[in-house]
Amino acid sequence: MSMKEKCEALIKALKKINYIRLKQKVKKRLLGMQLTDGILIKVIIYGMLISLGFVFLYPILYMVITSLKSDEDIMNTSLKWIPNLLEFKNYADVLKALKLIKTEKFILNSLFQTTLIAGIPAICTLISASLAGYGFSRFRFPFKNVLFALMIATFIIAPQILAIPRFVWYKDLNLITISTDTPIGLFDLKGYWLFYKPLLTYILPALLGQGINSALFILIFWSMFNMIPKSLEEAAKIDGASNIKIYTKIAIPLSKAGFIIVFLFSFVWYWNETYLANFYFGQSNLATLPMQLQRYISGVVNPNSGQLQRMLFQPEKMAATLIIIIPLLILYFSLQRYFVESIDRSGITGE
Amino acid sequence: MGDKVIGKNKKQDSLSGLLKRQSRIAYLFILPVIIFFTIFTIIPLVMSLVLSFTDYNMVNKMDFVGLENFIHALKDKYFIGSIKNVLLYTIMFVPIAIFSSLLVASLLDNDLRGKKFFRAIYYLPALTSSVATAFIWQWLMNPSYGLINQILNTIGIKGVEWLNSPKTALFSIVIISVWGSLGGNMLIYLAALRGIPSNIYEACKMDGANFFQKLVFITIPLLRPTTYFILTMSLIGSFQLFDIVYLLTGGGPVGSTTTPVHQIYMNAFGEFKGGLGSAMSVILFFIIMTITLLTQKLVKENY
Repeated sequence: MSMKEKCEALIKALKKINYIRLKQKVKKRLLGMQLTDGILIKVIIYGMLISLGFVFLYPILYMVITSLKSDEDIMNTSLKWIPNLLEFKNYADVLKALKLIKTEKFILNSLFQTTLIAGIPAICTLISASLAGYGFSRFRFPFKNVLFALMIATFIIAPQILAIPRFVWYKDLNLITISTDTPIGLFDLKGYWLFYKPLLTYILPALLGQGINSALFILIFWSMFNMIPKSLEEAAKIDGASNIKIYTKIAIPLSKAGFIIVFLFSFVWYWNETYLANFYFGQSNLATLPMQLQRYISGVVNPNSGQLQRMLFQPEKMAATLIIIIPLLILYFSLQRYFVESIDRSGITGE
Repeated sequence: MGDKVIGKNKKQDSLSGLLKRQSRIAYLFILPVIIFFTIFTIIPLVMSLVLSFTDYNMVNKMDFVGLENFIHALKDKYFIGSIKNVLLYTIMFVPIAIFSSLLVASLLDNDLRGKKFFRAIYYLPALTSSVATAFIWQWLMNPSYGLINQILNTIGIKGVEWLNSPKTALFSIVIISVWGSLGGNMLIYLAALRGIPSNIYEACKMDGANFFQKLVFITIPLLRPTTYFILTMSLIGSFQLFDIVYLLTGGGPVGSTTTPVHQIYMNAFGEFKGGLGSAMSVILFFIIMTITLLTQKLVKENY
């Protein structure tokens, strides 16, 4: 072998080594090695997330745009994305129609009403479900398992099924008001009682552990209180704490996360409930935002209305739908840092 | 020796005394729930059962009619159809819901920028009331000017009739339900994923497993209890399907999307046949109970 040949072979070998190194480097960057993820995996993950997110976000974006269109822009079919002028009047109209602003009386304001209608039962659910969960978790007593199984079994009963007998009941108890009077003056106690009486159809079951999805919440509290070490409780007992004190001073502070998540879920479910709400509040002055939305839209568009009317109503319809999502969205963003953590600690993940 | 026996007895006495006292306090804690559990759930259930044997018309008439309502319900082609619909719906909805939420959760469980943003987007539908959901999808799925068909037309696919055709209506409802349930299930999965110790993943990476191998061999088996929870909830939820159907299709076209709860509602509050509605409720209750118990048994056997 001549010198030249040797050199060529060497160069060839070096090139090959370089190539392999480069290949490895690229592979490392793209696919990742050992403890870090590669770019390729990241790109795939982002790609999937973004394309899925797009499916979720695109309709919302389109709704926002449509809600800001004026009548002329709506009729102009060539115009899809950017309206000629932003018509905020739609929103002003809708806010008024949904009774969010300019109601005759403050207690008729739908945001205030919905907050009450969702908030009070949610707090009641919180109290009753946590008490029951604590009872089932911390004590031994006869028939415990039977009672617990029964409680959980209520979950499989559709609320709509219980609605018939409960409705009969509430009617007999005179809780379902058919009146459109509002209290006169600040001290018209009778007026207030008549006005808010239908709300009892929500409060009573909630306070007594039979509200919307109460069984689930009892289960959540049960599994969360199970996680509190017995030794803590024993130590408190030796120090002479009563059971109520242990519950308020140890159990509640240690399961704050669960209280937040249960309140939030309960609040959202009550807020969005329309079936029962229509049922119980339909003939009274109380109305939730979703009910107002339903009334507003079916008031303008009905099966008899023509294509033109439907088209011209699009912006208002979109604006109204967006508006009723916003309050809960704000609530979510302000509490979102608790979300995953709370569910993790609440034990519904089944560990 | 005698002393010992006495001592033992004393100990037992105090223990049972403690237990007794404990159970008294325990009842105090759960008493409100138990009492009103009886009042608000057990009694209405029994009332439902009683009403199902009468011709109650939601106002005053209430005469005993025997099994007539049950026979009527089982002969009612809409009610039988609604059970078929809900079974078909469950078969489609439950797997898709579980798979999609697991996928999204495992994607979001990585170290990513904008994680919170994505989480919020996916959770948005869970915050949307069924009324708003109905309006959004009514518009998205409109055959002539709906957004979905517009997009399909631009890529050259002929638009689908969606909610207007008996062939596609039920599947459209499935899509809407998956959209609505994804966020909640995703959050539960995310929480469960956080509970998986990271050293398992590290060991797995050392062995050179990729994202999908990790998902199939580590994540999914470890998430089994969570999946079981979500499965049960979704099953029960799908048998109770009502809101979206009621708001969007009213059970149509030609009864292709009606559900048992919708039939109960229509009979009781639409036609004032409280007795028939109650009979249907009783039938539905037994169907859901059977299916829940069956899945529980199946899952336990395979666990």
